[in-house]
Amino acid sequence: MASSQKRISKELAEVTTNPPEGIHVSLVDESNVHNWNIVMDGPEGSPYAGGKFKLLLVLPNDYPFKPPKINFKTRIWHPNVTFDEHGSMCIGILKPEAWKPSSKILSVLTATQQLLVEPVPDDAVETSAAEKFKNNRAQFNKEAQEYTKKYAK
Amino acid sequence: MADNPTLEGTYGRGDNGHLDASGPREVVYCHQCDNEWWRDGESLTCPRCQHEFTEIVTPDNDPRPIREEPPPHPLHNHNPWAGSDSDPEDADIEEHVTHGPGGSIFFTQTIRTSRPHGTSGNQGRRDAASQGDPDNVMAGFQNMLGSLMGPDFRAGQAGRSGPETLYPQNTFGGGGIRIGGDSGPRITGGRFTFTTGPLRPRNADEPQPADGARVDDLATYDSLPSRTSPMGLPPLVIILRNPPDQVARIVGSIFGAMAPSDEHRPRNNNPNRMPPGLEALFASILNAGSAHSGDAVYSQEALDQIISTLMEQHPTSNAPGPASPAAIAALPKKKLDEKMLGPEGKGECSVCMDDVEIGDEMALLPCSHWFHEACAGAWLSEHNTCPICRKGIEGDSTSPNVRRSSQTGSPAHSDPQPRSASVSSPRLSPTNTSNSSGRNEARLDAIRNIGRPTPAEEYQANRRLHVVGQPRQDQTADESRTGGYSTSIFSRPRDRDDRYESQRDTRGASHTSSSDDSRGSRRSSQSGGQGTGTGPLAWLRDRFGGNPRRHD
Repeated sequence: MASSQKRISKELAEVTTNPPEGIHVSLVDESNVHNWNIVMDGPEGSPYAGGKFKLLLVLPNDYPFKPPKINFKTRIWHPNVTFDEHGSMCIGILKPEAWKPSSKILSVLTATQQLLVEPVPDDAVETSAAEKFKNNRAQFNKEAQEYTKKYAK
Repeated sequence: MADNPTLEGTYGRGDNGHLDASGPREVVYCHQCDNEWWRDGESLTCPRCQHEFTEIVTPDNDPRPIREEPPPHPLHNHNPWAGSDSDPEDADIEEHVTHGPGGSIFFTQTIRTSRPHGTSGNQGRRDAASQGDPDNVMAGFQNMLGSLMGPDFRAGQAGRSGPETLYPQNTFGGGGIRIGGDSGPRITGGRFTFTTGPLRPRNADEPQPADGARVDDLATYDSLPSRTSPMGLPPLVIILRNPPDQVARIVGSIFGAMAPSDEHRPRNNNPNRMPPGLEALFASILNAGSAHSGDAVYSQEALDQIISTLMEQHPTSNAPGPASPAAIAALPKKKLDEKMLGPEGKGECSVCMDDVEIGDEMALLPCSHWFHEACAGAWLSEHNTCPICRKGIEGDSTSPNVRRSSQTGSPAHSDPQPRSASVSSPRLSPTNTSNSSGRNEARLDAIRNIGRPTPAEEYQANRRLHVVGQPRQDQTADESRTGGYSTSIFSRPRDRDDRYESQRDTRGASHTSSSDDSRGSRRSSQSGGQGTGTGPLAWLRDRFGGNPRRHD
């Protein structure tokens, strides 16, 4: 527990002093390093460009032995994110069978960013988005842009 | 008044086993312990349990549970085929409501378009006293489905061979239910609706909606939520619309999977348990590929989604299992040197991210990644993977099984001079054996190892395993030497141990993890091969034959 806080603080310092482009990190509550607010710019070249997406990153007490949990608080229409109030994201790096303690929060965040650029339709949780992404990319981009305008401004 | 026995007689226990609340004496009921008593001017505190959660019972407001027979089942006297059809040309519509356990409601609607073939009069009749029994609820449910399915339905279509009668005659008070007999009409359209919540199902006998349309399609229920429900709660409606043969197939497979309800089966061991098959039935209902899409109706795809969500919520479900404590304890400890830390002489433990320095003692994994002993142990005790490269610490060169199988499973190892033999013919080295041993085998082995002679011996053995394991890591670079080590170790006299250890130490630091990574994935694809085959045999031989490991 103590070691987990130490590592988290270290990672937080790393991310805040040298933040990756388009990602802003703050603590939900300054006294608790386990809950992070993330604001992620929609990456250029994706239909989410121009949007600002809020995410909540929760680090379990036994981090890094358990993966962080990350959810979109801003609604996003994306094959790998549930289009509901939970905004649950399906991303490989956080899957229990793929998680390893040497993965850092920073890599989770950049992986999330990359997921916005490159959805993984075969691992979809939002099937309608995945089908459009696979079969009708233009329509997918259009709808994703519309939802971005609607929710992520 | 309590001293007046005649009153007790006049207003005593009524037909329902409760005190008669309609008389002049006040009856009080305790919600805590179900006690009831004549108040007779006393306080409202329960004399039995001293709780005050009590209530005066009046005929209008009787909180006491019904003790005796529950009201007859809605289908109590229902006999769908008893009377003659009023209009053979017109479809008959039947709707059944069954109150299941937990306040759920089963609702079926059946449409018949042809006349019955002639039936005996008492089919479908049941003993009302058996209604509380979950098994009988299930049986009633089957009965409904049976009448829904008509003669096409045969229980156990999924391959079960057994009596045609799902429930023997004595299960029901009168007349066994024979599903799929010759009697009963043929049904051309069947629907099944499962509802929960305060849904008040439409009754065919009640006035029909204003448009007067005949209720011949449950699509009308799609608009049900707009009907005002008494408690203002939206009902959950799941609708299946299938051709009868398909329904029969689905339900047949459900019941086919059920345990046969014969006299050998102990009945009602646990009355609170869900009736057998009901769970599977619901699963199948939700699973049906032809289910309607809508607010509360799930397709196969939606079900998959739910299941994957559930799987994700159980974090360790498909992650690799833990490494054995012995294997973790046996990890070699090594003081950091310049080679391990690089030119800057600085580094950090990848688990806790604390800085480390030259001279710090770290636990070294077979893949040459190092961590604080506590950090590595904390992770390995949950997952047998390297925190960096995910390569297992056992299940390969460190698995006791491999050692045994390489010892007994391959002819090469019976050679009295294994080292020289291997060196001269490297292909006989047990590379395949070691690679093919899967994680499961390693875990099995860990279990087998429980109860081995002494921990010290076990520890010693494990230490030597690591000795074996180390050279094998760079077998691509140095295959012949590797083969030699891995086979010779077993016949090696004890006095060579020290020399061997020192060899390993000088070699350990030069390993690169990149080549190990690729090999790790290759190995996993080979798991379950030769190692698994020789494992049990080797184990038996090890247990009951001579155990060379004890020659310490």
